Amino acid sequence: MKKWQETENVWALGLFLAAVGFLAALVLALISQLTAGPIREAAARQANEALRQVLPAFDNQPSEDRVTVKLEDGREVIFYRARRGGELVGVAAEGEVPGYAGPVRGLVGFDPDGTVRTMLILKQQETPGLGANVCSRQEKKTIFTLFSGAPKREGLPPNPVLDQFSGRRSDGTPWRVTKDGGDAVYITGATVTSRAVTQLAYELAEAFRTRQQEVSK
Amino acid sequence: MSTLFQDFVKGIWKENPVLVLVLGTCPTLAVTSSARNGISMGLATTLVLLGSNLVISLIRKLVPGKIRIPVYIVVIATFVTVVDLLMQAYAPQELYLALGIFIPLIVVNCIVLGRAEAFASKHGPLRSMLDGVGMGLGFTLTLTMVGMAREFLSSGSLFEVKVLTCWKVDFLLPAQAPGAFIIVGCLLAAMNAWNRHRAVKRGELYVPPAGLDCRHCRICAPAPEEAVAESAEEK
Repeated sequence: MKKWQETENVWALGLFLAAVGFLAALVLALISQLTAGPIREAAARQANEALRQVLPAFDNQPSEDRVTVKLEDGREVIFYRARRGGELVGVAAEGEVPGYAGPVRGLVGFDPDGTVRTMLILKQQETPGLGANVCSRQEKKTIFTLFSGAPKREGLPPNPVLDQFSGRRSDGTPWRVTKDGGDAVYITGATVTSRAVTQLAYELAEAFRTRQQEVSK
Repeated sequence: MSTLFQDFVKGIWKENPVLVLVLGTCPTLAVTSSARNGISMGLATTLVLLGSNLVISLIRKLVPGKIRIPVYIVVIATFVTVVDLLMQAYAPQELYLALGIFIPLIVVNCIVLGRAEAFASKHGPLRSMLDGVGMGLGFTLTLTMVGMAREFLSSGSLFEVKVLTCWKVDFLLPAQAPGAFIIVGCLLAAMNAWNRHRAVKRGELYVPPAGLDCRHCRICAPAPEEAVAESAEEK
């Protein structure tokens, strides 16, 4: 009999591979069982964190209290309702538009009357350093703030493009960047992303305005 | 004792997987746009290397030679999936999103299979683990270095902290793929220049470490004696 290590018996090899695959599957099943809970929690925490940032203080679970509506072109907008003591205090809308490099997914918080509170980009693959800057709300840290401690700030770190929509309400005329004859500022070199963000803000505001009845239940 | 120590440290400098073996170049170029991404990718790979080297060295006498590569790949893929699940559950969400597809792609990272075939399949568990961790740390250090260089050259910051506060407008080249190639190329050149300088100082002819390049890899190539003979002829 030949040594096991040099065997060329196809059946033995096949069985051995199957056994290895089976063991690997067992290990993975176990690990996936163990991490399923924490993964769900992490996703929920992420979702709630974003909602807390764009909505006023609430005591319900907006990620559960939601409606999904379809725009004319088939894209979906998800509305999350924030309530305090049973009363509607704000609505957040989540939607997606094509950006420069793939979809840009954002979340806009509204007061019940449709005024934009804050905008946040959840997901994007824009050019680092250009388009990504339009979307990011990252706290700017320098070596000075590192030692002296960052100045305390209420709410989110500022972003000139995303912040300009705060306080606006949609009246049916699309918002455009100044380059296209509108009044929204944009970042030079990142016009496409700025346009996408502006369009997203407008579409979500408009979706909320036209479906206010349905959403503000 | 000294060989154990050597197994560990050789991955960091003498046989650095990126700069000397030139393996795993894809993650080196792709995820190192910031120092934090670099260090996280390196640590994830280190974890996979440690696990896969340990298991492969334990089962090395059981596995028939004919199907060793598929078996190794199954072991590696298992560890990568475990690391992926763990990161999804416990790592900061934005980090997981930034590394994205490159975590599952550790499966096809040549360093992991390379170490399995070149080291773990021939040595005991302890030495293989040390080799895995050493290689992983070498990889992590290089990735962090490339990440720091790219981050600093593009925006004057390190680990997302602005070091040069007067640096207002980002410089895009280093943050993107071409910059990665340029910086990794400079590092490789520097490494070669340094090793040659050392060799010349000792009065020797500089020869890249034998048995470490593609010509000496036995996964798909002829027996090592022929390959060595070939490379000797070339010189």
